[in-house]
Amino acid sequence: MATNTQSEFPAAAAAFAPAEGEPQKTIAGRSPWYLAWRRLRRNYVALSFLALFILIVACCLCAPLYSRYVADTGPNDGNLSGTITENGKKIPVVSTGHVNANGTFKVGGIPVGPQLFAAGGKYFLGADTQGRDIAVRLLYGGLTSLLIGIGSAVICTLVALILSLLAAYYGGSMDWVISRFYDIIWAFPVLLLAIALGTALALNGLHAGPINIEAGSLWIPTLIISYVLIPYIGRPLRGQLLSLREKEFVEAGVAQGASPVRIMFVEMLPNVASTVLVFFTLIIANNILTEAALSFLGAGVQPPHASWGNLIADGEKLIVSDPWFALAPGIALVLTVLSLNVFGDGLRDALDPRSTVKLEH
Amino acid sequence: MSRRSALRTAVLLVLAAALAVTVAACGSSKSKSSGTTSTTSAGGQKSFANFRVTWDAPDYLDPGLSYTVAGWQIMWNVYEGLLGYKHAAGAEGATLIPYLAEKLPTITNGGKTYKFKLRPNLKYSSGKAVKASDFACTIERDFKMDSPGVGFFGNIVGVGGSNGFATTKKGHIKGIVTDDSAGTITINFTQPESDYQNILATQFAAFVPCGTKASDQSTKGIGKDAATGPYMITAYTPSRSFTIVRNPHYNGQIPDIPAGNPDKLTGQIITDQTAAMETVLQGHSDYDFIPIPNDRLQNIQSQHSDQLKIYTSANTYYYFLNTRTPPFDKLQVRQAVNYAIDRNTALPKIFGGLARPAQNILPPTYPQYEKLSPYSYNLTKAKQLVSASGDKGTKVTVWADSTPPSSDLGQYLAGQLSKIGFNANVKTLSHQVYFTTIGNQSTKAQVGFTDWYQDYPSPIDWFDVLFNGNRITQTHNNNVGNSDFPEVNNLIEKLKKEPISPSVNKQWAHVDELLVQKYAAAAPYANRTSTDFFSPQMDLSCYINHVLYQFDFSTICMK
Amino acid sequence: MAAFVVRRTIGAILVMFVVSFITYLIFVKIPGGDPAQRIAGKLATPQNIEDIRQKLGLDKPFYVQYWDMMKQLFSGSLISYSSQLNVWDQIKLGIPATFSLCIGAAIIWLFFGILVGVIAAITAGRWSDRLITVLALVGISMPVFFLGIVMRYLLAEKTSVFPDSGYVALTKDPAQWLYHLILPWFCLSVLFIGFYGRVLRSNILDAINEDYVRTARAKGLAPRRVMMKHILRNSLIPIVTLFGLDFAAVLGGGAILTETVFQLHGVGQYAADSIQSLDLPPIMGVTIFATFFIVVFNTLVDFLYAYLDPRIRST
Repeated sequence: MATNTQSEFPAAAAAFAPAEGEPQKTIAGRSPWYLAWRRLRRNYVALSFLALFILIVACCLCAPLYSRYVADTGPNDGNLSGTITENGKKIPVVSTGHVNANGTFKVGGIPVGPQLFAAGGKYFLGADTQGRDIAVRLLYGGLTSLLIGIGSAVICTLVALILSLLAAYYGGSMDWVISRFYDIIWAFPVLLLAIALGTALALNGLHAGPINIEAGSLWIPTLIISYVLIPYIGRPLRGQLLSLREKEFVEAGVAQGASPVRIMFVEMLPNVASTVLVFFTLIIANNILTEAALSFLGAGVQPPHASWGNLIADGEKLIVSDPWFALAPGIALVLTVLSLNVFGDGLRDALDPRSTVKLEH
Repeated sequence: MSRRSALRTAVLLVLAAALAVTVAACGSSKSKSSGTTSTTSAGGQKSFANFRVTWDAPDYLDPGLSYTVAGWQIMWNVYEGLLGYKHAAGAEGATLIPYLAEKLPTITNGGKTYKFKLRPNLKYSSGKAVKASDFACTIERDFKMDSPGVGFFGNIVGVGGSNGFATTKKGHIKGIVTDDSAGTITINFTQPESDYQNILATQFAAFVPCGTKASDQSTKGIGKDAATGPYMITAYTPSRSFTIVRNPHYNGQIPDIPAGNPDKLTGQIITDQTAAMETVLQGHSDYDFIPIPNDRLQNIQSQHSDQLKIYTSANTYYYFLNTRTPPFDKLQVRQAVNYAIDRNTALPKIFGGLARPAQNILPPTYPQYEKLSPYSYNLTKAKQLVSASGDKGTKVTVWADSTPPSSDLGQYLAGQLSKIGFNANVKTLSHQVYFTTIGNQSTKAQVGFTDWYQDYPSPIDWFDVLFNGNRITQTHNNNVGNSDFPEVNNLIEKLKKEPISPSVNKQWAHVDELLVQKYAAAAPYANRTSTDFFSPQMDLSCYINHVLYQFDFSTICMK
Repeated sequence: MAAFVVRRTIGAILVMFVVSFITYLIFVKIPGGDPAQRIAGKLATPQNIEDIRQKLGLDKPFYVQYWDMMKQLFSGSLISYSSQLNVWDQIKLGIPATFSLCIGAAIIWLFFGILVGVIAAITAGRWSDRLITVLALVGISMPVFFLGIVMRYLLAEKTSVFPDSGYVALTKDPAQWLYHLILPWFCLSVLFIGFYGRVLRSNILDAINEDYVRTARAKGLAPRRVMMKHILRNSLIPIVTLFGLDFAAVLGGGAILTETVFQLHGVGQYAADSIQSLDLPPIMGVTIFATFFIVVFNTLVDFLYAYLDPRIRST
């Protein structure tokens, strides 16, 4: 009484055959997203690094709390004239020095090193040349770096996505213009362009038509980094979307009279969603590194605002007397970027284990 | 390839790399050799063969154009003018002595006519004879090149006015009369001023032969052809290196300039403070011109204190307060700033301890200096003044230069202004454009960093240039604070014309007091001290630091 | 093929001009960047400033100035505003350091990247693979300048294993040249070794599953031959093209950070200094220099692809 199928594939038949007395179970399909989630769930390494990233973000978000309750000082509050009590002794936050009449001198200007808990929570990682608390600046700087990194990644991805969708859907001259636009930005040495824009806009801000951004605003490095990295995502996306355009389901949509917006966002976009997601994760890492490089060179976040990049630059000047000043933001940077890279890898493996789409470098 | 062979290859490569590194490291020890030992020549001088120096980048090595200490410190032993300074340390170094001229000038006509006679048989390093008409050519060349120093010569007859040489650049400057056969030079000024001899001692008035092109000749051999001092510049690659050797045609033609100890100077130009210091520490150089970074000072002082010299040149660091932009148009606010900065404890820290607190505009090296200390560090009083002025909460932008320590100084001020009730932020600019930006009226810079190093030892170079309301300009304004108080202006104009005397000196000191105490025209806070760092081979008992030109390389000797 | 070459070359030249014009626009309207005031010096009169402005042609409309500047650039007579030095001379002075740094680092990262990628792929899943993956990930997460600062401090200042910064010309002292470049080479290549290692590893692992490899094995070819002749060759093609683009990017200014940290005074450092000084002529010079390399290598890579894959020639 077995059907042909059953005899050919006994195991499958056994799996699908209803148990005695039970109604036939419906077969539920699993969406690719669910399958991806299951794969990701099993990738403990990726998940633990995601947790690390979330931990870092959480610490930075606690910056105002740390500043108020533990360190009792703001990130930009100088304290050159002040003193602290270290293990009961009162010492200046930044050492005093002076020049004697006979040509000798006492070296000054050296800030206190990492106190850990010796000063009651103040100057945990030491002070900088203005007497500011490095630990507080580290946390606020992290907030700034993460904000700029994530913000610019969002803007960059959105813009690249929309432009590539338009280029792929309309083709022809729209594609030509957008491709040339990508080419021009791509032809620029990325770092040079970013430094040039950063320096030029740091002077007077951006006042073009309706846009009015002050010179010290964080929008400036954010917009610059988003702008210079648009082709980074845009080009590979455009390639993928172009091949999608030729597929039958898109043709079908066009034949049905669907509007361009519907085709772009409902038909084409979901098919590149996993690529976009992976790119997005990886580009946050890239942007954080770019912002650090820009701020290190003085073309990104301007003093006195802290960012991990300009903290490293400040720390370099004090590397002999307080190596932790430069090491702390550097290690924070490496850990943040590493966790994003590892998680991004895991995400890519989960979404498409045989994925061959690579981020153009 | 198989796993094993891959690993084997990798190990071999690593070994090869390690070998290469070791070979290179052994090769490097060769460079730790010092210059040759010194010998005593006739006259008891200790001459030696090669003085290796690490220098900052001069702007030019052309006497008509250079306006930096890095340039002048090299050139004052190369290009000479009618007058110059004694090669001595301390106040004695401010004494003017005749260089190419036989004696100090004869001054007639109520201080408006200066007459010089050249020494006989003077030669340039090319062998060419020095002529009296070369002086006129030199000054005219400065104007033709739009030299930064032309402002010094504005009072010579025939320069100013719509038909003057400064505008037309044609013909000759009427006020300079020279006679080559007699070797005389007569200069006529439109009005008397007490700093003309100092001006004639600047590098802008150092002789170059007639016919020298009116453009930057730093790399075109001017140092080799037009040197009148004991040394000449035989090679110069901008931002990289220079070479200086003895001038073969010098023959002691200026008796009061020492013949110089080093036979040769090999200079490398390095702008990074740490890298410059390392050249001396690693034995590649005998002298580091650039200040040692604060962070390394401790080590250098404890381990190499006998190789380190500190000196305080005539400079003042101050915050300018723009009297034309609110809130600094109010005296109370300007006073508040002066009470809000901690000159004695906090500000010297930014210099690594290498600064002396100051409340005067003039540095202490001047005979016209009388110490002022009307302001103490008092945040409460500052806050009261700000509240009383009604400007509490105003947005204030503090301007700073990006080169250290200016950026830190700007951030400090912004922090203090925030503490006394302002909404302060900092704007940092590249050094290349900083002074032209704050010196431009359209920037409306309210307050910020500035400093002044003397051009020559005269109070005119300070008060007239920096605080005379009559000399305010639209662009390139050195009176950045737009200080314009009639009482002060009139006093400056009067004192400018009078020759130096104790009573005139006291009146200059009074100008200082008016500006600082009565009008709070600026907020001076420090005189900066700098470092000279030498290799262990150098004998520092011969070290001379000149009041204007700082370390004198001609007098240093080797052990 | 010829039409493709011509089309691409014209496109490349156009791109260079557009890039230079955009660079010019970024800096031309910056207040405080008035070069005439800058050159005129502390005690200049308004007359001086006007004279200088006329001498430099700064009173002409901006597109005329742009064209003049481009002419001067290509004839080698472009003068910097801040230092009054010839821009090409300064770039030429910086080329030995930049080329030494970039070419040396490129050889190192290509070699070690391939080595590491092959080892990781061959020993996939074992401890050596995991170790390499971890190191590679750390390598690409490391900011170049931070690595440089740490290396410089630990190995060149605190201990004198390596010399502290500076570049020694190859012609002057080959041993010193090598000695001074080891740290910069290491810092610059770490990022790329990590990246290339991972890309090659995944390419090889993908290739191993391809049909043609199965065929080769089925034919009875020795594993080594299969690897060298089929797998590596195919896996290396994307590496070579990536390398072309990366090398161009590094030459064109990606080395700025390494040069600045180690004070090598190459073209990259000259670019960074000029930008910070808002000095337009050197910025234009360096941008053209950098863009030239990027465009040349991009075009070469396109040619290579077109040669290998005829389908692309019609674009």
